[in-house]
Amino acid sequence: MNSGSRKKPSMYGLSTCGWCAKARAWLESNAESYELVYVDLLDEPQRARVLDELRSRVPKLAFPIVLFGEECVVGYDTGEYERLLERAG
Amino acid sequence: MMAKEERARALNAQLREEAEGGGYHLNPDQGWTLGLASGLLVNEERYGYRACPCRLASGDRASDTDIICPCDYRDLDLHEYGACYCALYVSDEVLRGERELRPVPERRPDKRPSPRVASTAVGVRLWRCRVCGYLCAREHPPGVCPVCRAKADRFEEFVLPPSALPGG
Repeated sequence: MNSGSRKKPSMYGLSTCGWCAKARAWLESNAESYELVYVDLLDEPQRARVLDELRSRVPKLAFPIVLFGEECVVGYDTGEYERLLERAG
Repeated sequence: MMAKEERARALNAQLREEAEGGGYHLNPDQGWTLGLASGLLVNEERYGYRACPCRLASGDRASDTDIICPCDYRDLDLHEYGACYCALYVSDEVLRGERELRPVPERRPDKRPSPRVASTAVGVRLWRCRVCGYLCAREHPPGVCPVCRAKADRFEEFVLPPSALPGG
């Protein structure tokens, strides 16, 4: 559905989180490719760096966070994922 | 590997039993709750406490007491959204299929008051079960009395006389 997408979505989640698992499954089925970062599995310096970056992009830190280029979605929201994935394509 | 799965299954069953016994409901989706039970065990191993699997724990128990499952926000979220933040617990309405289960926005404040002080006079309402006298301090009465199983409509707001309040 998304041939030739220029920017692949990036998902930041927690490996223990049910909503993150659902978001990942959605990306698996709908995105041609995506990047996945489990923040809880990062070592301390990496985690701090990623969290700083995420905090600068979202009003409130909660997982999953899915970035579509400059746009980002906090939480499991397939309607928004679909809209932004289509726009990115 | 099997041992971990078995422990998760045992915890899942224990949480379900405890929830029902206390007037709460676990999400009827067994696959979902089993995944969260696994997450709770992972967090217990990692941090030493069962932090909510859908939140990033700090590793410092004192900073995370509010997100140790069941979290401080469970009852408010059950009341407002029909599920707790990670959807381990659901409301009567969701259980009966009368309300759709949807993701719950994070209500945990970024900066939490410290030290945490329980308020007796301001901001906390008290509820009394008219059947058995059970008292609890929370924004809304529980769906079911955890002691005698009376329904929420059997609760009344319990108002302390001014003389019982500090400085009264």
